Amino acid sequence: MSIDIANPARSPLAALRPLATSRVGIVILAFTVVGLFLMPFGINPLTVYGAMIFGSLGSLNAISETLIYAAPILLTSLSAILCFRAGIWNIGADGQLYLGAIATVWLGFNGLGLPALFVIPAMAIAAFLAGALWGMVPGFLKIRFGANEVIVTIMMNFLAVILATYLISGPWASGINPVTKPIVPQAYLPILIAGTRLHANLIVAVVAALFVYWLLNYSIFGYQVRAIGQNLRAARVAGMPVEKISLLSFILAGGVAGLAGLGEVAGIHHNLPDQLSPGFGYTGIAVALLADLNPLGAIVSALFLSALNVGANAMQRAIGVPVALVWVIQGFILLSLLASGAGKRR
Amino acid sequence: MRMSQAPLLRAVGITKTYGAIVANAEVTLDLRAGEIHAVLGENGAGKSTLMKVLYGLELPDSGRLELRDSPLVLHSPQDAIKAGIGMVHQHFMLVPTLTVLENLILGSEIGGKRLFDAGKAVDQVGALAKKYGMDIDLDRPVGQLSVGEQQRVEILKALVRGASVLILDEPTAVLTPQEITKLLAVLRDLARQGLGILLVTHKLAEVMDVADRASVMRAGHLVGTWNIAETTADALISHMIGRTRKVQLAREVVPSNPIVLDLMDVEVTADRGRSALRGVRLTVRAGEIVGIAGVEGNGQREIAEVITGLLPAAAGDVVLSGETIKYEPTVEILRRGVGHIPEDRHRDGLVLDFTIAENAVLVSHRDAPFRRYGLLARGAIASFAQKLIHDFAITCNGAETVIRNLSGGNQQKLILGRELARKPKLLIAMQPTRGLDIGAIDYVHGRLMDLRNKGVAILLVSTELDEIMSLSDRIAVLRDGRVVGTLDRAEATPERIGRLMLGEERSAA
Repeated sequence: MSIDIANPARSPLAALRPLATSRVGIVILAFTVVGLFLMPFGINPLTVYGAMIFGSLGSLNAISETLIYAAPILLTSLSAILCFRAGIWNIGADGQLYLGAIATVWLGFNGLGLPALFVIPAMAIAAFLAGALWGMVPGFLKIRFGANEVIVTIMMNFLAVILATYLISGPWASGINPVTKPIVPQAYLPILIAGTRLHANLIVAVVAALFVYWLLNYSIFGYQVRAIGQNLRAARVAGMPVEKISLLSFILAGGVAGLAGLGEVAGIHHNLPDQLSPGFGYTGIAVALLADLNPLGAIVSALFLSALNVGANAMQRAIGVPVALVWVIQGFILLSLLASGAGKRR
Repeated sequence: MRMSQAPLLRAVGITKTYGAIVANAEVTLDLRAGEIHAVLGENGAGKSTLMKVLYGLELPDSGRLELRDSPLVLHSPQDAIKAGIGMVHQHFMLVPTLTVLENLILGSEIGGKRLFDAGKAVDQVGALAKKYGMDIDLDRPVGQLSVGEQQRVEILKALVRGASVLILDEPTAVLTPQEITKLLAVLRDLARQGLGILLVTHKLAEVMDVADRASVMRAGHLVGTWNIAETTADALISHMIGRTRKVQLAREVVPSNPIVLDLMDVEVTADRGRSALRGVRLTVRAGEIVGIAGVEGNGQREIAEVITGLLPAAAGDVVLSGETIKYEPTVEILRRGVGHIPEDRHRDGLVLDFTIAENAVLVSHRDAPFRRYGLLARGAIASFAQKLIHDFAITCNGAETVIRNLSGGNQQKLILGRELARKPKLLIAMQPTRGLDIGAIDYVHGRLMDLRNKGVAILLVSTELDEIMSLSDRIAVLRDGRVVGTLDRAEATPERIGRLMLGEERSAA
């Protein structure tokens, strides 16, 4: 019986509403607006976008680079999704990724002398556990002390980078570049397509996406996650162990992001470099929101944002427009999504 | 009574659709100066939409408005206010930390258009308040006022802005019986002074008491307008629901039964150290409905929460069938046979974006047969939801319908069905019929009485006194976190309960 004061139907922007609220519409809008800003500088946006498309899809190598980049942001997006769906704002995927990378490189040295067959599984498990442990901390602090998970996870991202930098320059230093010693060749992830760098972590990422989808939609745990995410109070009244579920989703989220670290170390660098992640964790959040927090949709949006990033690098080499352009586009998309209410279902 | 026959405000042929839903179909209604015109109808009948049109919140698809015989186009509430149409919302639009005066002049031009002259404002507002017989201390912060007083501030706010038409949306829903009497007197007085008053309500007694005419809406149509003097409450109800209402609550004699719920001197500390329950002593036996009456916010919610383990008891004991459940977690308490219809179904009872099936197992999803190896047993859940839809006559497009798209009545039926399916020995029914239409209310009442007759102990919490009086075997009155009196069904009258609610009578608890 109460009267709804907000009446958006009458806003003069009403006609733009369907465009601004559909995901595809927002992406088109982002490219258009950014393109308009390029024109005064005498840059033809179509040339820029053409170079980006060519750079991300124009050759086998370009495609494989796009797929390589997609794996870590898909995994970090799953970390975001698992928590966001539970109504928890986990911004910590980047840090969780670093912990996974640290665990991977530690086992990858194979100081324990594991048989070759066990090295990779051991690294995967360790990467998952390390990320999970890192994710558990903000979860625990939130439940026990009511600490804001946004702040804690962001701070822990810095901590993780500092920890990595310490290891790189200290105990595990290679002595030449700002990277650690290399891992043993038995710890290298298999290459999927000969002649490219495309490694097996893409499969891990896709399987993880399928698993998270299945978990959320078919398991009791996933049902509870969705319930507390969409109506915490109703979940509590219905007797759900809200704290336990929140903590568990944080742990799983951390573990999944940790697997992204596995791929970067064991699939690409074969050591732990400084500046391992160019913000994979944050891009993962964009991937998650663009997919409307749907793990299957995240596969698609991860490929899209990956193409955008890979294409931008190629474009910069070809035309000289800075890569930062892509961050503007990505930022525009993210802000538009947030403004249109994505991720609001908590 | 000075009542001119020329209409003050007229709505002619108003049609408003939302997608496929026709909220208003060719509605024509006129309001005369000096009359109280009640608008009656069940939920979803289209009353709210009509009021939104009259207050400029919605543009009608077709139809027109006329104010004193000249056309009126409203694009926004500001237009409506300028035209002299004021609205008192169900949820007050006041700033609690500001004083009455400050609230009244917010957004008005009283006390000067650009520079503010406090003395002038006090004079102007004071004169108005006096004219309409509303004595209110202008310097008190609104947050310190009672609900009834706040409502008078809202009315005064409309008058300060020069309203000649006053729309009130369910104004008595939040008031005590005494406050209702006072409000109705104020409304009578305003009408006598020439205002036209539209009173949206579902409480017929008030309509019969105070209104001059009543319009009844049903399914978007205006069924008709009647002079109160020439109609009866029963006739109006039949118009509202489109058939004759049949009320039969068969209260069977249940022999003396064991105590199911025993609250022993329960103390609850709510947020910020405020004492929410103080030494509450209450028993509910099997086959008995104990009603808790009281103005909202006097500890009703805390009683339900302390029983269901959502709030810890600071002292005292909560005993279910002889065993203490004080330290048990919610899940365990619910498993031991406590059903809970929460106070606010949207906030506490449902996940609105879940389907009917998913909501049907919100409590019992962790138990057989809905759980299999840690997975949701989708087949069992679907057939359970199907059974509830059938048994409780829930109108929907199947078990996969998102529950947000159901009417309040159907949502409530799902909660009721879900709780009853768990075969509780104690049912806590909080505001079980809030926001429901008459048909659904009768249905819920029938089911509750049925349960009682089958030996379930029921704790009924409601701010609707009629509901408490017609269902309860015993009535406990809650005020300020205390049970200030317990009355047997035979000795309970609205006056006695009202006095206890206000703290004017003390009786042995």
